[in-house]
Amino acid sequence: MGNSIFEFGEKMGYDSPWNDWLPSTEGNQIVAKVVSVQVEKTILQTNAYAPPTKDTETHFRVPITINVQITGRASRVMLSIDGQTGYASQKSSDPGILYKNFIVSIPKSFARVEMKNSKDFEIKVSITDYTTKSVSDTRFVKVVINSDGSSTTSGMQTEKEKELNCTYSIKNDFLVGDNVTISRTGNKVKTRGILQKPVKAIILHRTVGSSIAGAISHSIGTHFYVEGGRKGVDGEIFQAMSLKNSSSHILNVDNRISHLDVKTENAIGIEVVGLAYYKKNGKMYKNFGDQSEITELPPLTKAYVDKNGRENYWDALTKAQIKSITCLVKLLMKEFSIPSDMILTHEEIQIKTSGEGQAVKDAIFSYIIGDK
Amino acid sequence: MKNSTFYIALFILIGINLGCNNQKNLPLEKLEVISKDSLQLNLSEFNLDSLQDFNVFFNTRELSGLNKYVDSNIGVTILYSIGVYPSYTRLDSFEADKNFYLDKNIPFWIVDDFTANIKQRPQLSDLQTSDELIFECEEVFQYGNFIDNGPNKNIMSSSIKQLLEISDYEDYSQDYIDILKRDLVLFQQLESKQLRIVQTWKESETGLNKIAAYHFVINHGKLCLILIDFQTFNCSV
Repeated sequence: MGNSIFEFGEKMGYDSPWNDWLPSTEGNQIVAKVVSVQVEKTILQTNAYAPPTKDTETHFRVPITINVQITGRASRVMLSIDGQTGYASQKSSDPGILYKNFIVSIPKSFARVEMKNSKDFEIKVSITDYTTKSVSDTRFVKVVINSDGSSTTSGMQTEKEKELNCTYSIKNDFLVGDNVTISRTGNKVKTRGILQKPVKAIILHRTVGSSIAGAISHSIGTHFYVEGGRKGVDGEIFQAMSLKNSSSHILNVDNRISHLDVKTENAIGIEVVGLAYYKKNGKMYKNFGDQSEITELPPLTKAYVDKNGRENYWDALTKAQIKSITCLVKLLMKEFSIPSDMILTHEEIQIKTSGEGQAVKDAIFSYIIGDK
Repeated sequence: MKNSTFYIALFILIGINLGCNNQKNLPLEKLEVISKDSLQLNLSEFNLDSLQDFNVFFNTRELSGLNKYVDSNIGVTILYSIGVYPSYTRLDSFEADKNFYLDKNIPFWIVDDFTANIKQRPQLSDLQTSDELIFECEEVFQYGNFIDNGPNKNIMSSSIKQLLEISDYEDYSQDYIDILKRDLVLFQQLESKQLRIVQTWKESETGLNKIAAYHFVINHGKLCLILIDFQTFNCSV
């Protein structure tokens, strides 16, 4: 990776038949999205632009085709692959379709990747509004050169997906991956029978505590616990019970306010380690333990105001927590076919302290829905 | 259940009476809360009439009568949880003002439960004794009125022990740890002589299981409410 040179056809854009393209203006921002990146299967090994400088170097030249979907008025975008820039344009003379989506294909003759020695590499495709210079989309594509000289791509990742680099999987109803611990030692979590299928929802909770260790030794419910930054390993996921079984983390009847079909027997719970606070008369207090006033504030979420007007705050999630929870939620969504609108917060379905699960949902949801 | 009508009247009427209710049929025992064997309670002589009065005060929202069951030295403790750990707040008396409880950081959903519409509770007659599991979470195994001798009778001291066990994790201040230790001694003394009364019933209107649990001791010959337990009903974390 990284030992590669990317190149655009030098006349791309300037040869466009639409030289009178209209610049995007405020309120008329172009939204562009990489639809696909296709790599030419034929690898031109000897026809690289830059000849090998050493006998041991082998240069490959891989033509690629990039399809970009552009939404907005007569559009022109800059396309870059690892910083090398070209242009893609689209315009219709028919005003009636100016606001429709366009697909622009950047032909392989205009975009090539030249690489040295590597058998696999990653390309980064970014689309930038030519006028505003705002980045509309960035995708990462992994390319593997096969032994027969052909090449294949392995899907596209958004920047957030690449940042997350989720590696979790589920085997025999248990989470597998780095930073995952499965143990019954000191675990008080009780099962409530078999996890009923279909699984209806993922419920986000907050421990109102500082550590997994404290929580699992006293909590009766939830399958998963995610460590915070105060104790233990930040972002560590602890699985308290098999996904074959249900746990006891929501009330099925009492104080329920929505989604009555979601029961503790058909929902998976995730407890996120973190403390709660509230503001009274301009001062901030702990909502746990001695409930004393705190003067040195940790990183906090925004205020979540309850129906009595009280401002509740929560520990802001750490980056490690956000990554772990997002990867876990995405995996569970895929494993159990749970749609994103069924990622629910504890307080959405049952009367609880405002912001308990919402602070978690707010932190992860853009990662959940942003990769479509 | 948390929204049991059992608790509703607590928050309706204003009135403070620092004495506990006279327990006429029991020998008057002087209570020294912290001293060993200071509380005496002969269950066979327990006056059901007094409990019936207590029940009526709840049902009729008569806080002035209800506060007669609160000993100002012991107070009445509200046990609940907002996350995975128990929390508790001690009150000297009940008051009608909702903000009184919110100001003490009792969760609003519990306060809301107190102030919900009253539904008639069953009478506290035919008090049974049970060593069996009467309910768990929202599931009720037996309906009726019980002197609960099951594991939950020590719910308060076990909750305080939990809080002490996590004190290292939670970086509690020494002052708070000292308070927990003091309260642990207090409740261990109280629990050794207390009555845990559990009512379970099915509401006729909704068909829902309802649970109420409260703890009494006899102090100076008077029946005193010392604990309202929201913790053991709650399987929500």
